[in-house]
Amino acid sequence: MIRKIVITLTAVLGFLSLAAAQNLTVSGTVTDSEGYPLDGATVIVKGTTTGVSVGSDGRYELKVTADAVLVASYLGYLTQELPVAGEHTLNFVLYEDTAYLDDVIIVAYGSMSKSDFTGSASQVSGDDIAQASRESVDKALVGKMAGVRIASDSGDPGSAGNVQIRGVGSISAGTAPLYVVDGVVMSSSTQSDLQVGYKSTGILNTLNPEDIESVTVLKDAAAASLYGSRAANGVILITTKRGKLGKTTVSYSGETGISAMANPRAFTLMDASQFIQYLKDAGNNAYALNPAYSYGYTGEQIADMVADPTGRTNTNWKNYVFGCAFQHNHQVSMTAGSEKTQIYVGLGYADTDGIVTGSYFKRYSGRVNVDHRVSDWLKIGVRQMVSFTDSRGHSDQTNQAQGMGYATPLGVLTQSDPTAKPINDDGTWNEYVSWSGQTGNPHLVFASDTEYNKSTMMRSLSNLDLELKFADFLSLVNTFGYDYIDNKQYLWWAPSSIDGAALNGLSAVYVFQTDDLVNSTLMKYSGSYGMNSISAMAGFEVADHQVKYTYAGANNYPNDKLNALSVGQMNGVGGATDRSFMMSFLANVNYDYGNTYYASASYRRDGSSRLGPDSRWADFWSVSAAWRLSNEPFMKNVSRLFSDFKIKASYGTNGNLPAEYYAYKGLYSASGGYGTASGIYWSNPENDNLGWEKSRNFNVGFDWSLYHRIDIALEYYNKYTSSLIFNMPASAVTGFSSYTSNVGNLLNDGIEFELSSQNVTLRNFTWTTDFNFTWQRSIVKNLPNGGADIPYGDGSMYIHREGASMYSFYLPVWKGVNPENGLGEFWVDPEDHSKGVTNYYSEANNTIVGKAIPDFIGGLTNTFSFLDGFMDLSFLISYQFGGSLFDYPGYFTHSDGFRAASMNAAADAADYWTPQNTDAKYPKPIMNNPYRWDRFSSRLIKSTDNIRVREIVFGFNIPVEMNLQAMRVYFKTTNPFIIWSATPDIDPDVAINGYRTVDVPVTRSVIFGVNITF
Amino acid sequence: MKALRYIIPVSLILAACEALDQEPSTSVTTDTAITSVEDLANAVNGAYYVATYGTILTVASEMSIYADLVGPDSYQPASSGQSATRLAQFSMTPADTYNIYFYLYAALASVNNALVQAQQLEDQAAAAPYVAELYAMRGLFHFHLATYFAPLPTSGSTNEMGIVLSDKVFDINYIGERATLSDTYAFIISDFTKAIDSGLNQERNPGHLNYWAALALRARANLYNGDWEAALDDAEEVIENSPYTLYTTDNYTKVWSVTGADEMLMEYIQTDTYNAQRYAPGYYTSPRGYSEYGVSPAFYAWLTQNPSDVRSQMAADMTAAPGSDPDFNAGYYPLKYPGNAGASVPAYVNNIKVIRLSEMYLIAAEAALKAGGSAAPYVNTLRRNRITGYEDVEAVTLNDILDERRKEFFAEGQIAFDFWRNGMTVYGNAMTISADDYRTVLPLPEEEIDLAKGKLVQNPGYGN
Repeated sequence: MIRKIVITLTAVLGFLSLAAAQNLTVSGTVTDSEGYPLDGATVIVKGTTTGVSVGSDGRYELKVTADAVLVASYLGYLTQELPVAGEHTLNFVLYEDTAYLDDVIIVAYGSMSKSDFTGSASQVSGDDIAQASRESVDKALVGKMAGVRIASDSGDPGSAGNVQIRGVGSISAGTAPLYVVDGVVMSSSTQSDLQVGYKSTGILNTLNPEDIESVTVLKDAAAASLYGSRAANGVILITTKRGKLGKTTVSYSGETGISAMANPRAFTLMDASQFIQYLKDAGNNAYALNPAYSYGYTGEQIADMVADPTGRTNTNWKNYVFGCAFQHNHQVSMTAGSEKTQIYVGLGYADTDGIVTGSYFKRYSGRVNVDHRVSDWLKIGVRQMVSFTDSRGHSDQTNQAQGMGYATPLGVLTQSDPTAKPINDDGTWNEYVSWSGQTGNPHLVFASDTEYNKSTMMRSLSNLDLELKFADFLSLVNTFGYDYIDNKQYLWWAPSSIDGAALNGLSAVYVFQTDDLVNSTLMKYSGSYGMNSISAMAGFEVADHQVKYTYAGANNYPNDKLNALSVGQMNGVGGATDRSFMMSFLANVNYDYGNTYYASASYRRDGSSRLGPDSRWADFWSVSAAWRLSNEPFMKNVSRLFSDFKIKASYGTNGNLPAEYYAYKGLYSASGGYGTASGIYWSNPENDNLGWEKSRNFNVGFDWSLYHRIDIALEYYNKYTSSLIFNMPASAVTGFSSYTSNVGNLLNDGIEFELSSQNVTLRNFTWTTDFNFTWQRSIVKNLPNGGADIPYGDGSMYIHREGASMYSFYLPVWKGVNPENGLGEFWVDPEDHSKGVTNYYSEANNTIVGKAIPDFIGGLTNTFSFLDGFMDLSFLISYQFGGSLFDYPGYFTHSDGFRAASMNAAADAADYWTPQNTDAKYPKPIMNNPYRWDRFSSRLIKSTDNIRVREIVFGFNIPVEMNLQAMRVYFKTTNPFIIWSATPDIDPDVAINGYRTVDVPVTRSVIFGVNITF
Repeated sequence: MKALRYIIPVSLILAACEALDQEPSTSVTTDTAITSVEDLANAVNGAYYVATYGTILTVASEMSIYADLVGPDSYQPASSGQSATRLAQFSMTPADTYNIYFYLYAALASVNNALVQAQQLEDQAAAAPYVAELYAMRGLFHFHLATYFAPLPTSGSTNEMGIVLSDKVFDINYIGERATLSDTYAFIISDFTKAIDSGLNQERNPGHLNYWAALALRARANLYNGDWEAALDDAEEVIENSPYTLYTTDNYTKVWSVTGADEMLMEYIQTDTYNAQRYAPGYYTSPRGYSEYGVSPAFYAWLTQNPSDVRSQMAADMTAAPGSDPDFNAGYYPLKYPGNAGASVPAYVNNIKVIRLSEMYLIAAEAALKAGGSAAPYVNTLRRNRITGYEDVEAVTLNDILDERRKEFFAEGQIAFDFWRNGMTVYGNAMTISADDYRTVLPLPEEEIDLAKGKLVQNPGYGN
């Protein structure tokens, strides 16, 4: 109200002074919403060419007529008009044009205006990435883009995340997207190239998210097929920050916080009294059936063997395995630039402790990006990153289906006796708390240095770009990239440790060294002839990938004190080198007519050493077109509703290679031995016909901007993958369990919807909403051998069946507990209930009981800004529906007594059948249960449907003095709570294939952060 | 400038085409793998390696004590949740048996492939002993599979299915059908015969099948197959002419850590590098290991009732745990896995005993008895080398021979087979299993059943 009056008064006064002052001097500032001067902004008199440029202090001065209207503009900001109305001072505050941020999109081998782009891609700014995760860029993408699914199932810091773009691209070949950093394809190392199976280690987290300018996900063929053979699973382009022209800025950002298990209900086990009763019942039920099942003891006798048979000691071991963890990270960066040279320097340090004692992740990273214009015709860009990561943790279930390790967090938790005291009366840790006798006190296992996995990784990523300009329309761009990763994994099992006892200590070092050398040379052309503009390029690329693996191990250590290899006796050594090579030719052309009609085409020919000479070359191509209807005269009447409207379609092919290096060769392995002699054996059957996996992608959609405020994008995609690289099961009689072949077809299709809306854009209050929604399916279309089902996975728990989803669980169906006798029942034939039920797992037949891939996924972000940008609040919610998980830990914690002799059970498993509790959820427990109700069945399939708050950020932009440019403080929480979950006792974040193996569940954290710019 | 576009690529392509042919660093292509007799010798080693590969449920791990676990004299001092307990409790399902099946067939595939490659060698005379050994290995690996996955021919089982025979290199799409039980044993015996007749080495060569080992195994196969005369002939031949000698009361307790001991006709060598680690029988019989295989209290009492029998020292009473160490699983344990001499981890590294000379005496005795001859001399000879102050007996019964087998071969993977092939019921710790019980035979892996789509018939009692 007050503001309104002021404006009115100004207008009145202005009118009065009009006659007096024909030439008025107006001065003021042009700043952004946070008060920073916008150096280089222009202020002009509307309708004229009169104007001035704003100085570095943000001030301007201009002689005008009193009735003039001034227009302030700055690239990337919304222009603002203010009437002079006789005022001597006019201050402009310009707001960022969010549409502009998306205006330039990074694409394959270059960048282009988003409006000219005919493919399908989503881009996220580096700020959003750094805000979501300072650990790893993949984990930061959760909920931010349609069609992109992130599964980071482990809360272990430094572990790998999984990213899936538009469904599952392959059955047996890789399903991970291709990562390209600053135009150079990153190490194509699969996880197995880089780590041993003890603990998950991600290589992406060597990249400091704070050095990232933007992340672009290329989804369709038009966007991705220039990457040809490796683009079948989509491409993620990461662009790092560049130096900027203008004033040198130095900024610091830091965060500190604590984290804990995100879902506190997970892994709650029976308490002391429940456990004692459970042992009595499980023991007695077993004794009655056959005393051998309970080792000849009655239930009472077994229950007497616990540490405190009275049950008065009640230890919640979960608190000793999983705790709170501290984290902090710091980044100092500098940008500087002149006309000739721009520099960006970033130095970062991140230190995150895991929620299991003794686990941590540390990263030291540095990056220097220099762009230099040598002359009018030569530009050089040099980008160098060096990063060291150091992580420590404990064995987890990375190596799926190997059972519960004795020294893994879950293994120790489940085997700890809840009636045992954690600490002896004399204050020492109680060593003897393991009910199975096979593990130790969680504190001693995890906090002591007797048993751990450590990984140190050094990564150097170098780019050299040369651009030779022959003419305005013709240039040659040479990009050279070298990615070197040195990952050393250390395993130490001290002689006194659980795993080390039998070996009298084991120390091992695994060294994985990968070199990736990529060189591409492109000729680029662009030109326009009247309304026609054309850009085109052609070139070639070579990529050399090499992995060297070395192993050395020693055992028989004198004591726990020293773990250097030289201290023990030699246990084993190993080493191997694998190499793959690819060469490619590529070309593309983009055409547009009057920014209204667009057409593009691309072509790539790839040859790979992973395939035999007759099948190693393949061609990939795409065509695409778009039509900007909003530029058509017939749309003029609705130009505000359709401030921009474009329809587009694309079609093309992508490929995928076998994950194995030499799958096509018939091989004898020389890695065996017998006694002290060497041995060779037939290790791979010859398969000369092995070829590329090919997918055909169709994409159609529109981009629609309403009133310049609401942006909507809707797309339908259909990706049909044929000649799947498939690990066909083979009969063991042939000597092989499987072989690689090109068979079968897979269909992925889906609908993606993205909405971005500026709901309120008042000066003191802005509110924007970003929403995305994806409906997807991933269907097996054709299978070999006449379409016969192919069971696979741990105990054949998954099935490939024509018409069924990928990652379909194929298991017996649990009917429930018979209230009469307390026995568990399965349907004999789940598809024909007339065949009745059985108490024996082995007599139950399987059916599809769920699928891991959700039908719907998406996210919602709301951002509010108050008081002229002084305060802001944003929160991100993600959701998914229609998927299931396989609860592998549940197989151990709901064993119906089968594992009572070695493990505690889940707290909810205490609701088992007794003659008094006939309406129980679980059957009567029987030690060494011969019925095996616990085995993999529909009982272990749980819904992953959930709506979850991923992140809340509450920040203040504090007004600062002249020597500071900006200061921001914020509070942030990640995974703060689950709004709704179909399975409340389990964290629904699991791996892409739905196999819940996590030893360290996803964490939630509360973080305080500060950003200061000097 | 346009020329640049062509010059650079062309030169790079010439360099790069070579690069598109990459070779692995730990393998060679099949056609270049066996080009000399030394390569063939390595291929023989490689097939042993595959069969005894250090993992769960192979002939070097749990399966080496399978017939003990399911026999009358075992019990489980602890349940560590491992496969030995599953075997002992007869709870193996078709989902659990893949390794048992796979590694032996994988070894057979390597054997058959090596037999094909060996034909290209110029010096066939030098290759002959290795070719003969490959045949003997083929017989042995089939014999293992037959005892696990098919009934024993003389058990009286109505199941007459044998196993899929791996007699050549198969195409990768091959789906085999089960041979009949009689064809299976005929094949095993014929492979041993082929080996014996084609120049197998007669010298001792620990860890390798030589002439005498093949003969001894043929004796066992003939006995299992109910051909008493043939079994007796083979056993006699080994007893009379082989360079092997019986252990004695003096050395009996010391031979278990020795490679190439006096009696050892065939053993699978285990080393610090190649062993089954925690799935090794040594770890299962260790009170600080998995402790899933101990001898029953009754067996211990029976074994130790005659202290002058040296075999009474081969099991130990460890029921009194030292101190209050909860990591120690109290029980009675066999002492046949003390660790190979010099082994870095004794519980992991014990050679797997496949066949030794004592068995020839007991095969001869049983075959002679069944063929109507005199069994006592064989038993007397053996006992004189086991019992201090032993006095010969006039006659022995089948039960006497079986009791002798229980004492001599416990923890060596034979006992349950001896009972069942004689039609006898095993009164075990957990179960009572008659010789015609379906559980005397393990289920074929479900992966194989699923893949074969009806061509491969599951053993009775395991679904289908």
